[in-house]
Amino acid sequence: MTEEEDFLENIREIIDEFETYIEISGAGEILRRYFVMNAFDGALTMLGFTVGSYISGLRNPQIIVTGGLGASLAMGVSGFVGALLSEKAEREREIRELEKILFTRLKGKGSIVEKANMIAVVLAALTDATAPALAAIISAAPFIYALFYPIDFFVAFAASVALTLLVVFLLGVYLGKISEENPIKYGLAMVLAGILVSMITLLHV
Amino acid sequence: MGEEALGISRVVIDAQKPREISIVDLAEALAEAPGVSKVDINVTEVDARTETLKIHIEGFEIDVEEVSSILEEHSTVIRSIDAVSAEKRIVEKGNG
Repeated sequence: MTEEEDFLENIREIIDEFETYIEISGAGEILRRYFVMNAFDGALTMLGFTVGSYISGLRNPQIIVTGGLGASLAMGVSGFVGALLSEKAEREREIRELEKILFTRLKGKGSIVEKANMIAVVLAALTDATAPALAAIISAAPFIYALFYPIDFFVAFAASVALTLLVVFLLGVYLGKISEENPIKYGLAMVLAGILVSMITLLHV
Repeated sequence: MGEEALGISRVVIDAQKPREISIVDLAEALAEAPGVSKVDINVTEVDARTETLKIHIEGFEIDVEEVSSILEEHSTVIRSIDAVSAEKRIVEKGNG
């Protein structure tokens, strides 16, 4: 085997191992849920902030970018810590339950269940941290663009709202696909939720 | 001209594992243990969280410690060792 083939083989083994850990820990389901929930949170938080700022008469893209990204950073950090602690607590409870059933110690032995749970906790925390930030950055992208290139503020605002609703629609389509239901229906339901958020913001401001 | 070697050629283990652990992965891991040439795993009981297994391992000079270690790594608990066969064989010099 050449060095390149060796390297690819090693990567395949690592991916296989990861897949095994995800299967054992049941992390796939949790990660999907966290990703969609938190991306939705991030997108709609940014949408509410953008619409509220526009209605208030704000026309400075820098404020929207710094405010929005600041909020998404806060969401990311709180998501990471929250998911890390709650997933860790939940998984430790599961291991303790299994230990009682099997009449043996599983923790601290480097067993596959322990490793799988650790990977699940870290992945859940990372997903919880990055999903809202990613959605918020996509939503803020037109305003980030407006910082460097002269475009009309309303154009940036409209593009931001459109992008946010697109992100939300795509999240719905993804949910529809994994649940084997009508993805368009799911997508539209999520968009409706997004529009509702904007309207609630409009009423409040 | 070979030399005589004495070793474990068959072990039957009663074990219990969490349902999340695949018996396919477990069998493959056990088959890689030194001295093991064949692994049969039968699931004898299933409950909400665990599965009880009957593991038949065949080979020669089976490293039972290593088998035990592999089971522990896969969060599988040995309930009992139900049968063991020990065998004397002539092995080729220099093999191993």
